[in-house]
Amino acid sequence: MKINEYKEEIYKCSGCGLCQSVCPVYKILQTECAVSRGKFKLLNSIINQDIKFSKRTLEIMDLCLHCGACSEFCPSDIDAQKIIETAQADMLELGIFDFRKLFFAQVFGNKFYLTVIKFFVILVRNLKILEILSIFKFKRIELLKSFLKINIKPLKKFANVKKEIKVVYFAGCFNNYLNPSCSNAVFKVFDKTNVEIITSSFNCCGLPLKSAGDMETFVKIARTNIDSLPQVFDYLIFDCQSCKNTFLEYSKYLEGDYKIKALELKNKCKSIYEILDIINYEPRKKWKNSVVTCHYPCHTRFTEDKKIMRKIINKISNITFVEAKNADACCGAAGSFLCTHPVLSRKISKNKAKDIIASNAQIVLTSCPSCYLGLKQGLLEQNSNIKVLQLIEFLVL
Amino acid sequence: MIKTINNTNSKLKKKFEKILGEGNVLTAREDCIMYATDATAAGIDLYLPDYILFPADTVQVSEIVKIAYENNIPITVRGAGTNMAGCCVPFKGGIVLAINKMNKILDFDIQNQTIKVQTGVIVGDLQNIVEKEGLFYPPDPSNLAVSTIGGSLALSSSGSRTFKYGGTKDYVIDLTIVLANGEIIKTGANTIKNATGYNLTQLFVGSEGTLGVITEATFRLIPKPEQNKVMLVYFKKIADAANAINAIIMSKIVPSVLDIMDKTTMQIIEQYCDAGFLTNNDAALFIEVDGDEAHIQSQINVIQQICLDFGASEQQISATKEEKQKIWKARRSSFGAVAKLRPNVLSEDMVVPRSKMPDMIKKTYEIAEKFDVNISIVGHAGDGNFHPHIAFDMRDRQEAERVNAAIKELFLSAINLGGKISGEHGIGSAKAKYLKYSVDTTTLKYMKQIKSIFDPKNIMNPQKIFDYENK
Ligand SMILES: Cc1cc2nc3c(=O)[nH]c(=O)nc-3n(C[C@H](O)[C@H](O)[C@H](O)COP(=O)(O)OP(=O)(O)OC[C@H]3O[C@@H](n4cnc5c(N)ncnc54)[C@H](O)[C@@H]3O)c2cc1C
Ligand code: SF4
Ligand code: SF4
Repeated sequence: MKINEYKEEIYKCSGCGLCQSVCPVYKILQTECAVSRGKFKLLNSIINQDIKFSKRTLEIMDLCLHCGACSEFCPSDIDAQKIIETAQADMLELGIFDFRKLFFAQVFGNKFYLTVIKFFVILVRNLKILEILSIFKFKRIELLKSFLKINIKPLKKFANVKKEIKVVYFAGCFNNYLNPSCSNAVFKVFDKTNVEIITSSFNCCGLPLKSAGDMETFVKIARTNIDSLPQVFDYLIFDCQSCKNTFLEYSKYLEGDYKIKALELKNKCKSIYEILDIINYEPRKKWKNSVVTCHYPCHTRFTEDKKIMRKIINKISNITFVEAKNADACCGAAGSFLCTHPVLSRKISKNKAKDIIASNAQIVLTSCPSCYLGLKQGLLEQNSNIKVLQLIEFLVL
Repeated sequence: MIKTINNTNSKLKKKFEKILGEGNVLTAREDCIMYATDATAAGIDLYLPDYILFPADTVQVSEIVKIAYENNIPITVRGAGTNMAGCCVPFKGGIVLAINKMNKILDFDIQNQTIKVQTGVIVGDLQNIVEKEGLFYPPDPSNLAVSTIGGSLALSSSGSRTFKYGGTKDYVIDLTIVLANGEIIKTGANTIKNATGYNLTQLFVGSEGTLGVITEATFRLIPKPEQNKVMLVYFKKIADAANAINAIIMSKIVPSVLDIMDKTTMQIIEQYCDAGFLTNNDAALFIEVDGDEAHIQSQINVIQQICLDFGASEQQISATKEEKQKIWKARRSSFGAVAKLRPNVLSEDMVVPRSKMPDMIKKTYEIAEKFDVNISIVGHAGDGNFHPHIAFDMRDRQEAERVNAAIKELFLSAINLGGKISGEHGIGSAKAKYLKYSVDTTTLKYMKQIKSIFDPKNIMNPQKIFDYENK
């Protein structure tokens, strides 16, 4: 069992219970199952062979958004996400897994399924199926409808000219297969700059598989993604924080040549916002007077991206920026969590929305498509019509 | 190792589910493990409960307790489970009654400046709610972001601001309690004053869940002080800092906070969050003064002069909200930060007459050296209440024994200086065997009689406070 490697780290938990104050799942459920302290106590007992991994253990470990709030906060410096993931992987090996989560992961891990979904979405969109269904007033349908509605049109002409900085663009699955709006925005923003975008055909970054504990497929995907990179480029850029972080972690899971390549790649992985910062991008557009706030995706937690997003927003003239309370608290979507724990996810999103509404903002910006869903879900629950947008879309809208 | 046999009875489980709803009854072994311990450094032995129950209100608690009473099932009430005296360990199995879902504000009476809440409400949340109306609930255990009202009442919690404003016990005016047989009593009134019969309210404050379940509580509030400032004054010798404390108090100034930190504590906290402590000093006084602007300045002037007289080396003053928040966060993370040193931490909380603080600090360092244990000190110096944090690895038998011996000597030293073994963390199971040194036999006899009046079957948090043989 891999979890044994974390014996000391898990034992380090002093049981101070302070993680209760930051865990979004604890705030809803109010039980030890939710928070990292409880999870560590349970894993400690498993390591001490008091009990064995079980279905219930999996349920408890799955009550986690992998948001990292507790890891960032923990005075004993324990990396909860890594430990919980390892436990999940151990259980998968023992045949204990959540079918839904694995199914979701497999879909994302497979280009064919994704392509099928892509056509399905196009069909739904063109036949206005959601519009028809929305007479039933299901919140879920409203949510999807709103997600598909944001629509930055593609560039009329994509000029393939040589430019100073060459970047490879990794567009996340949401962009590639569900709604290309954000990708279109990326091309638009960089069009007038000295950055040349090179496209390539990638797989999913592998995060859904990693968090479902399917490390075997995850490693396979990581390798093909590395193979898909062109020979020469300056940066590999991401419009989604989660994808970027997953790439940054490749080296931990790969071996041999791939490990070396993944390590080399680390310095080249940048979010689109980091690139905008490097080239000192000046937003040209004058925005009409509005109050804007920002939701920082969990994956920006241990990075500079938070600051950079703020810096770019501050450059936009005519808007007033307000910081909402708990602006870096998880939105509740957390990838497959939205599907595997719908009720819980909705409640977490609702809490998130309360803070956004209290900030009096008219628009909330973020940098992750999954967060879009979480934020919108919460705002719909609260019957609020605050707009949700990716920062990159906001720059060209 | 799991020490208790699982006694979950499916008939009773059904009964509980009927009262509470299905999601509010947990019995799986995995869940029981998570509820077997609290924030007290625990060995490898685990005492599991049989049921973990989440009631929503007083009536549900009463119904559960009645069933427990009829069936002789022990009940351990649990708030956030952050006490450090083993108060929540269910040695005899039975029910863990988790009050976390009883978290409603029942009545906020702004005119009369009182608030009535269910006891699962978080202390910090209560503070935020009343502050929005310009009111103040001062008791501030350093883990107020998680600590429940119930836990802070049952342990008579206090904090840094207790020096000026008093602790939990000074603000509670009324309690609703479910007794061991399920009967419900109200101990006080909605009024600020009350001399109507015995003061049962105070009997239940600090009762550690051994007399009954506190389900609702009413507190009086005070107007929020206009402003405050936080200052850190550094000393090259901790003895000088301790003497400065006495001089400040003698000068009749009452800062809202008068805490002390030693060098090790500062260094460790600095590693956790860079608070900007000047760690080349031996000790720092953490002082907060409040009031209107002129009053604040005059207090600061006097304090500065006194500290200089006693050899203060440097000082920092923070006035902006952000600066203050940063410093407070640092101060409140001392326990957690010490936990970084070694896997286990014990935080003791002896209290001595405050003039004896310098002696107690000196003694503590001697003991640390004598038993070769790692002790760092933070303390509510103004109250004579101080926390030696002992970092160690419990799995190392020899080290654990040295720690135990050191603790015993710390307790005896505090008692010799005219103090008590606990100022705010309670006795629980961890300190039960030392109670006899700190409370005389006759008093102890009456305490035990009180326990048996309220809890004749000894089902309310058994094995706590008093030294029961054969645990
Ligand atoms: C990091 C850290 C810092 C701390 N700082 C301080 C501090 O500054 N000052 C201080 O005083 N303490 C401090 N403590 C100790 C402790 O956390 C506090 O006493 C706290 O108030 C306990 O609250 P809780 O909700 O966690 O109670 P729990 O640990 O859940 O319970 C404590 C006791 O109260 C009983 N109890 C709980 N709720 C009820 C109820 N409704 N009815 C009857 N009995 C009940 C339980 O049975 C148990 O005996 C600290 C602890 C930690 C881990
Ligand atoms: S904050 Fe860290 S050390 Fe404290 S209980 Fe949570 S996981 Fe354990
Ligand atoms: S990662 Fe987030 S959801 Fe998971 S235990 Fe930590 S704080 Fe809770």
